[in-house]
Parts: sequence; C-alpha cells; structure tokens
Amino acid sequence: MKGLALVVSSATLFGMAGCGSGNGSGDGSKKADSASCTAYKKYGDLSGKKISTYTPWIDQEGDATVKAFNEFANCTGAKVEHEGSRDMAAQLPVRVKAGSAPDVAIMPQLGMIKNMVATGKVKDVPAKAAANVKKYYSKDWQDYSTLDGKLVSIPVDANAKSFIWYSPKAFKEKGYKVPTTWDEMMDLTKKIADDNKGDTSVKPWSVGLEGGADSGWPGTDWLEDAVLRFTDADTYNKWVDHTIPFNDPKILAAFKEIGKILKDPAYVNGGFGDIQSIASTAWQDAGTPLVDGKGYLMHMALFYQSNYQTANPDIKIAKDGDVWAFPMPSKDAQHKSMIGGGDFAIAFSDKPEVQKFEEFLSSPEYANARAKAMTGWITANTGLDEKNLKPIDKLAYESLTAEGTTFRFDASDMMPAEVGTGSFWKQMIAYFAQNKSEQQVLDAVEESWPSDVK
Amino acid sequence: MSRKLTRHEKALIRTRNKLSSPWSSAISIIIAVLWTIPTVGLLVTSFRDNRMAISTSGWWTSLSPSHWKDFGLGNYRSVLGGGYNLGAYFVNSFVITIPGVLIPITLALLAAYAFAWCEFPGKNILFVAVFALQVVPIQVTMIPLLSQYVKWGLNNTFWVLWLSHTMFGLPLAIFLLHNFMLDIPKELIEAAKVDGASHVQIFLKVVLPLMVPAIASFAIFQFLWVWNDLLVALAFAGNTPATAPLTSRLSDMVGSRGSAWYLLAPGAFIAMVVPVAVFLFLQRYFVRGMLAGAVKG
Amino acid sequence: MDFILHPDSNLSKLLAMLLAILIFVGVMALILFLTNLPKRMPSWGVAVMFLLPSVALVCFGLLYPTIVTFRDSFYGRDGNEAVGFANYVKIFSEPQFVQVLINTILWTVLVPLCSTAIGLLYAVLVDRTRFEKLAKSLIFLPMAISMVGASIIWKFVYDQRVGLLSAAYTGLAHLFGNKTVSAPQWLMSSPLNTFLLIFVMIWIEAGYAMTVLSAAIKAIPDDLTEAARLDGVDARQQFFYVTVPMIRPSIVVVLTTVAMAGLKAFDVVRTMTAGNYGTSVIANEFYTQSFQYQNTGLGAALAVIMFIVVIPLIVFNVHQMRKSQDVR
Repeated sequence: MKGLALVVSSATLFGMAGCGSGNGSGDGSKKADSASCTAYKKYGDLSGKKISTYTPWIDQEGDATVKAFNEFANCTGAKVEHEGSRDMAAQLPVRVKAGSAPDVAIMPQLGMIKNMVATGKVKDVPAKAAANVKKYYSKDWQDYSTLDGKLVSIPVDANAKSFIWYSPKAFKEKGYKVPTTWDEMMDLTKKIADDNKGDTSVKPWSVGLEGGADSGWPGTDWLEDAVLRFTDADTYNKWVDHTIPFNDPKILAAFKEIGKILKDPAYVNGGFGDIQSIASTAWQDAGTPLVDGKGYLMHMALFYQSNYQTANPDIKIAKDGDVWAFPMPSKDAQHKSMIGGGDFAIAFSDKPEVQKFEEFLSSPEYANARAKAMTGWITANTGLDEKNLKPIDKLAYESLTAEGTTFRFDASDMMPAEVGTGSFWKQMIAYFAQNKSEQQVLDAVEESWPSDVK
Repeated sequence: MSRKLTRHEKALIRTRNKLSSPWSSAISIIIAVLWTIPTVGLLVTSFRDNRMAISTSGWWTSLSPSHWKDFGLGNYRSVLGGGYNLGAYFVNSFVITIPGVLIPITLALLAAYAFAWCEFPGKNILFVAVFALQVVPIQVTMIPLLSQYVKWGLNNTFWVLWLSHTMFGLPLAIFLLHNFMLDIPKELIEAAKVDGASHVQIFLKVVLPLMVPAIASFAIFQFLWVWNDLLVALAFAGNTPATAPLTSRLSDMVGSRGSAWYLLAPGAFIAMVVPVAVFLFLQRYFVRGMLAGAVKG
Repeated sequence: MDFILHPDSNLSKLLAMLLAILIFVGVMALILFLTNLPKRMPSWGVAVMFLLPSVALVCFGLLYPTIVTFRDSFYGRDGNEAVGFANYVKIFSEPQFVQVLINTILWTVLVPLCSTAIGLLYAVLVDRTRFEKLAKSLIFLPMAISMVGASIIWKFVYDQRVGLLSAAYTGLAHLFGNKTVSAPQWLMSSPLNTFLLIFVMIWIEAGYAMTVLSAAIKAIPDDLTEAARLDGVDARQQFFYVTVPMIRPSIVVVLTTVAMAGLKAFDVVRTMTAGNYGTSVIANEFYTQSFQYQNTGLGAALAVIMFIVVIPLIVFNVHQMRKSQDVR
C-alpha cells in the first residue's frame, strides 16, 4: 500500500501541472505583438491587470472559452482568469451577497440577471461596449439585454433550439422526406410508426428529459415551440411575463398538439421504451437511437452535435451524412418560428480593464476567436465571419439572423427561477413520469408562480 | 481485574460460535453480498470498453465468456489521459484533507477532556449546545461565512477550507471523543491526581495513549468526510485547479458528460483508491476496538 | 510569501500545508504550556483553556450563521421585509412542502434504525470469525465512496433498462410464470422511490455503525461472555441480555450521529433525483429555495425546521447522559 501511495504522490508532484478543466487563466506575460493583435491595439497596454470571469462552462467548452479570452490576454498583457462551475447558478448569488463577486459573470438565465441587477451590484455597460451591442446585434437581442430601458448585459453567444434531428442516411433509405409543415411532420410520424408496426422497439420519436439537477428542460423547449406555433408571438410574450396565466386555454390547446406526439405510445419513445421512459432517459442519450435505427426524429437544440461527436468522433454531421437537423416546421411553410437562447455577460466591476474586456466580449474579435476555438458555438453577433462556422453551425446562425423568422427567447430562461428552473422543469417531468394531463401540468405551474415577484 | 482466557478456552468459544450458527453465517454472507454487489457492478462497468453496451445492457451480461472481449483498460486510459488532469486535483484533495483531519481532532480532544474530567459551571448546557450544533446544515453557513472570509481576504485559499472543515467537524468530534473518554476508568485519573499530576500531564500521559484507538477510528471517518466533501470546497474556494478537490472534478464530469458512464465509472474508482487504502491501513487500530478495551473490566 | 495564500505549484501547496500544520502545533503547544504554568490551576481554568479554541470556532462557524438563519426565517425573500410566520405557514400548508417534511422524518427515523440494526447484527455475526477483517472491509467500502460516486454506483442498480433491480424483478416474475411483466421506472414510482433512496443512505451508513459497534463489542470483558455461556445462555439470549446492554452507550451514539446524517441528507437526493418525483427532503429543498430560487426567507424557515426536528433527539440524548452519569 505504501509503495502505491508513493508512486501516486510523486507522479502528481512532478507530472501533471497543466490544466484541462476549462478553468485557468490567460497569461499576459507572453505578450504577442503579431499582426493578429492589430484589432486589440485600441485596448492599450493592460500589463499587470487582472480580470476574473465566472461562467457555467467546463471541460471542452471551458477550454474553448479560455482560448478565446487568451487572444485578449496575449495581445493586451492583461491576465484573464476563468472559473467554470456547473453550480454557477447557485454559487454566484452566494458570492455576490458575500462580497466576492467576479469581475465578469456570464449566464443564460435572464431571470437571474434581473435578480443580480436588483442587488445593485451590477455595473453599467460601458459606453464603448454598449455601442458594439447596438452595432452588431439585432433589436431583439438588444431588448434581451435591456432592463427597464437600460442596457445591463452583453450577449456573448446564442443557440437555436427549434430543430429536429434526423438521419439523412436513414431517410434516404426509407424514402422519407423532410417535412416543411406541421401536418407533413405528423404524416411522416404516422408513416414511420406504420412502417415499424412489427418492431415495438422502433418508434418515430426519441425523447429524453433527464439531466440530473437540471432534469426537464428539453420538455420546456417542446412546449415553448408549440406555444409559438399554435398561438402567436404576442401571446408568447404575454405568457412569459405572466400577463396571461400560465394555464391560459390558448396555451393548453398548443400543449395538446405536442401531446398528440408525446403521449402516443405508437410514436414514442424510440430506442428507450414506453412513454414514462421519456422522463428517465438522459437528454444526452436521446440522439443515439437515430444512429441505431431505433428512432427517427429528435427535437433538440443544435448544440447537441457535440454529443454525437463525443460518442463517435467519426460521425458525419452533414445534409447527406449520418445526422443532420431541420427547423421544426410551423403550421404552414411560409411562417418560420425559432426559439433560441443565449448567454449574457454582466460586470460587477467598473475598473478600466474590465470595461475594456466587456468591449472585447461585445466585439466581432471575440465572436470569431470563440468560433474558431471550438465548433458547435454560434452568436447573434452580426460581425461574425461565417467562414469560421461549420455547416451545422451555419444552419443555426442563419436561423437566428434570417429575415422573416419569428425569433423568441427561451421562455423558461425568462420566467422567475421558481418557474423557469423549478416547477416548469419538474412538471414537464411529471407529465411523463406520473402521466399527468396537460391541464394538470399547466395548473401546477401556474400555482407555483411566485406572488411576490413579477 | 479480569482473568485472561486460556488459548484452549478461546478456541472452544470460537468453535462453539461456529457450530451454533449455520444461520448466522448465511445471514452475514447475504448482507456482505448485498453490500458489495453494487460496487462490483461499477468495477465491472469501468472495464467495459464497449461504450454502447454500458447504456444498453446490464453489466453482468459482459461476465459471460462470450463477452469477455468487451473488457479492457480503455476507459481508464481515457480518464487518466484525455486532459482531465486528475493529478492536480489529487494533490488538492491531500492538501485539504490532512490539516482538515488533524486540526479538528486535536482541538476536540482538548475540549472532550474538559467536558469529561473538569468541573465548571454550565458544563452540561454547554455540552448539549455543542452537540446540538451538529445539525446545522453546511448550506446555512455559506453566505455568513463567505462574507467574513472575503473581508479577511482569505476566500479561495486552502486556509478557509482548513478552517471550515475544522469548524464543521468539531461538534461531532467532541461528542464522539467525549463518549470514548468517559470509558476511561475514573480511578486512573484520580490516581494520577493523587500523584500530583496536573491536568495537562494527565491529558498527555494518561488519556492520550489510551485514546489512540478512538482517535484512529474517528480520524478515518473525518478523513472520509473531508476527502469526499464537495460543498465546502465549492462554496469557499471555488472550482479552479488551484484549490478544487477530486470530488469537484468528478461532479463536473457527471454534469457535462451526463451519460458518459465509461468515464464516470473509472473516475469514481480512482477517487475511491485513497480512502480505501487509508481504511485498510488504519483498520488494525480499531480491530482492537475504539473503546480501548484494555482499560475495561 | 504569496505561496502561503495562493500556492501555484504542487510543491508549494504541500509546503503551505506543512506551514499550516506547524503553526497549529505551535498554538497547541502554547495553550498546553500556558495551562500548565500556574502552580495550582483551578479545574475551571483548565476547562477555559481547553474549550476556548473549540467553542470560539463553533460559535463563529455554526452558532452565528444559525442566529442569522433564525432571523431570516421571519423575513421575506430578500431579507428586508418582516413577514412574521408567513414562511412557516407556507411550509405547513402547501402539500408540496408537507411531502418534504414527511420524507425528512422518514429519513431521520429509518436511516439510523436500519443501519444501526444491520451494522450491529453484522458486527456480532462476523465477530471472531476467520474472515472478520475481509468481511468488515466489504461493509465498510461504501463509506469510502463519495456521494457522487455512490450515486453513479446506484444508477446501475435502479436504472430501468440496465439496472440490477430491474433484472431481479423481471427474473422473479418469470420464475412465477409471468413472462410479460416489465420493470417499473424505479426512481419515479412514488412513494417507493423515497425508500430506495433511503436504502442508499443505509448502505453508506451501515459501515459506520458496524465499525463503531464492533469496537464496542470487542471491549466487552471476555469473562462476562464466558460466564453467560457457562450459565447455558444461548446465542440469541446472549445478544439481548449481555451484548446489547453492555454496548448501549455506543448504540445511542451511533443512532444519534446517523440520525443527524439522515436529517441532513442532501447529496444522495440531489444527485439521484434532484428532489423530483416526490423525493425531496428539507436539506435539498433548502438549497433549492435559498440558492436556486433566491428565496432567502423560505429557505431559512426550512433550515429552522431542521432544528425543530432534532429536538427529540437532543432530549433523548440528555436523558441517556443522565442515566449513564448516575451509573458512574
């Protein structure tokens, strides 16, 4: 035993000092003066300055973030420290209350940003960064960053959620066509079910909601897409800010439309089992049946591509490849609707170097650096050079910036945390786990809406 | 004083024990199997190189000879290589744990001695108060304590982790060590006092030697709690390679690789190696017993 | 000197640790030296010196946050507006929270009783057998596994598709001729799921109970057992009339500490179900309310209820302490 312990400790002493966790810092000391730094000249020399950042990103995502931050660090001489944590959403308020807030925090929940701003500790977005936001982001995105008429945050990335993954290879083999309207999609669903009547393990749709403490969110994406498609954008807004109740009859009607897929034992849950298995299947696993031929369709944001790549680095993600995605159709082919989300940066410090870093975050330089660092990432920043995107990311980027698409922000990220990260998630789980009806689900969420926050 | 049993008598008892209890053997084997199987499942899983199989078939299916080809070291290679950098976190866990065990036990020994062998007003009330504070959930302390640490400029250092683990470990340590200390015969202490020994001398020369098994036993529990802690480290020192322990890393892997059981299973095993080694090493101390049987009877 | 606070290499981390230990040893030596200095230090003086560090630390680290929590429990979500008993009323009136309270009581009662019973039984059964060391190590193993690790392990038991429990369930059903039955989603089947989670905690804590109780059993004087045997007492009677009364204080200690652990159970619930499907307990709900939902007041009220739950435990212990003091 002793010998073993010795080997372990000496190995750890000398062998491994690097950093693979996505946490770490850009070292300003090896300041680069190459041509690539010309865009950073305006920030001046920030040698000896330190900027701390706090994000929910770890592993490859964290590494890619550090890589993008390092361009700023290497060119300006500043030291940018990055800490990523899965529990960031719970830990950030603790740190803010305790007085150890990071200089810059990045997070997806607009509801939480509202809470943070309410503490009075969030600093104004500096003028130059604000000018960038105005220049490079559409009106919609500027609105998400605005609270009571004031710009409070900077959008740093985006994701497109209203997509349905499929296998072009399998579709070609079976002669299935990508649907362009909701009815076509329902017809396709029925056709796939009929074609596989003999094999009970094969179903048209594969769905997974489980995700540890975050279980349930893929279910909320389903309902949000239904609301946007079967009511209208205005109703969606009212639903989000609770001017109409969560269980409004219009919402119920929309919910029932997806219920026709999700609660039909002939349509779900390909590769995993019965309806109840939707609640217990990890969302990270939900895409595997598409490759195995046990399922044909999966409703999931485009960032899912990295899950395919982790499982099989050789997988071909292309329009004629192993997997690809199409936008979830609306009632008719003319209307296009897209639900998306994003991450936003807020600053707890107004030191000059932090303000310059914010300017960097809102600039095309950051967008391009981050896009190059790792695929599976997009932004709504129109300064992004599309050259830096892979085909699948281009698909997402275009869906966000295209004219004529009704874009709406993920409702659960805008609702109060009790609902958006609480009862809404939990009730979508209960919809499958306890076989609750649509009405029961909506009623329960409505009941949980906190009376003391708007 | 007790009469020592002869070796013959001991052997007799042992045989009788065995003979009288075919049932007891059966029950103990059932419990042992029940308690071990889940861990065996993880062990088997950690060696299954067929990643698809892990989430589609039970681990026991790969035990049949036709599936032996599934086994391999690939998963361990992925975790130890693959940029997960467990090494730095291993060092952090060590650095956090050793003072996190040493300090509370030493302080608790002094306190337990005072509660057991000193007379002072309000003793019982104070003891019950300390005992009751065991129930305070660590989550409750996060904001008040972190605020103080920030004021002192000590947040995100090992120092606050050592301090926090000491504070959180003390009530239980005092409670348990006090109980064991009461088992030391009063006569021994009285005799030492008559010989003119001071409390400090009694503590060092009489009580401490007798407490060694109890200390060893409690040390292993405190070691396990600190080694396996996630919340304290996350709250007070953050999730960076500078201070984060191995559990942080493992928990991050659960989060970002929600379904990557081929990484999680070996990861969990690697994290287990040290605690199990410590247990096996310290086990000899409490085979003889926490309650220092030598002084009894 | 920056390495003292922020060591940046593995070596300097170890150095900082050694330094901390040295400082601590120095302080301890000073305390002992000062206590020993006066010729006739009164007993209470020794107590003050010995207790001061511990009591000061406990007051700062546990008592002070507790007081803050008590205060917060009577305030609203951001701690600024007094709301009286509103938070408590909410907890006791909404079915969702009542469920949490019931679950917590189940945890606080079942975990200590079952793990102590199993630990005690096992300790007695393997005592003085040939495989004692190995047998004890097997039961102790779960203690060595972190909660995160434990949740990974039990995933392979409770998973509906690849879990051992499902296999055993369908296997048994086949045995009795029911060939079509499929296993339920174990962790979603309320109220069974709460008991399944409790079992994980019992699995962890039984090793602790076994270790402590086994040590206590070994401390029973041999001649006592011997005498009982000569009186013709059988194994069962010996267990109830000799072993249990002799190790009674240890049993109380184990029951108490494990009950505290059951009451504070957080990790198992958090990692396995996140409190979904009606499995939440107070500690998990506290975390959700305070940190996820930013509802400080409600979270604080939940924490205070934990103190209330523990009162019977304190009374029981004080009672036991009185009893054993009378004996001494």
